[in-house]
Amino acid sequence: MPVTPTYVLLNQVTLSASTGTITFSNIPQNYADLVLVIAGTGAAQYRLNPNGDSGNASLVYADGYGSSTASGTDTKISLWYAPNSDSIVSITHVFDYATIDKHKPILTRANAASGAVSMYGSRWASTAAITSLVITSSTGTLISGSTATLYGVHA
Amino acid sequence: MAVKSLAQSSVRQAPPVNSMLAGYRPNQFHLLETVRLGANTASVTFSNLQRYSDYQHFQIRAVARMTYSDPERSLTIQFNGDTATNYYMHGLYGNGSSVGSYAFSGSSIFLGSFPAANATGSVFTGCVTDILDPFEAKTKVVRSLAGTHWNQPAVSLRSGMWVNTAAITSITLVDATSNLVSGSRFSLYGIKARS
Repeated sequence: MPVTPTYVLLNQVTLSASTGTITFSNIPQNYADLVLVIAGTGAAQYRLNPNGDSGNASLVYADGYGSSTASGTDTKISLWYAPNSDSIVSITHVFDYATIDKHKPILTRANAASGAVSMYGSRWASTAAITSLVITSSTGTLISGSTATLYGVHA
Repeated sequence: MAVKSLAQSSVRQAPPVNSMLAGYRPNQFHLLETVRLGANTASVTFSNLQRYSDYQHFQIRAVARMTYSDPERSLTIQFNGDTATNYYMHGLYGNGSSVGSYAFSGSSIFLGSFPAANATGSVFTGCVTDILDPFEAKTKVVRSLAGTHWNQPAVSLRSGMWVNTAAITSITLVDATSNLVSGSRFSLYGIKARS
């Protein structure tokens, strides 16, 4: 049976200066899922706005801080929580992003070196296909050398 | 900072990436099979998996919801048609108000909580499940990340074990008391070992 190589690199950004916003636009519509990998330093909290939409978002989180835990809900799609603005890695899966029959489930696992280990289950409450991802700061900015990488996964 | 349009950029071979499965290379990540449900269905089975024995790991990416009348149901996984009590698991979850952990043993491994009939319309949950060393003569290990926010918010990280050293030849995804809803999708991927 033929198999399909996938997990295709769509674009990678390496910041040459501090920035508060990264945009991936004109995302191809021929994959099933997107995977967004961010490795960086300097920003306490970033959020994801599908198609630039800062509304229609909801999230449940579970954080571990080393000596305590917390769970709650929010109305933004968070990508990480690093209260000390230290090194972070965040991996986000955007499922069925090109479909027009369902809200978009978004799943994130994030680590901050001295902050929190986190998992987020999010939903963008729109049936529109996602054609762009805007990654924007809630608190702080990513510094030079931070990377954001977008992959497409076939199904 | 706006980056160049993806349409203007060429697709190129990806470098190694820090991912859920540390150590794999994206060019060794292959789509093997996909099942898209056109009608409500009791279960999904990937069978004859021995033909994929040149892969080191499997990953299942699922987008699903259930028909049951509860706000949420748990999708479970079984191997080789084994429905006996040969499965163990631990779960770590957040429900929007607290973080909890639990252990369980039984006839399947829970992968995550999925919206059911009472959940808001158009809501599906995403789930990424890694199945490590499916063809090696050792007890099989599974880990799963799932969750979304709906009227019963849930996000969870689960680890499971099938106490059997046999090679995995089939994988069944099922909820014992509910159907999987039309529009759900289940994709099986194979991940090569480093050469």
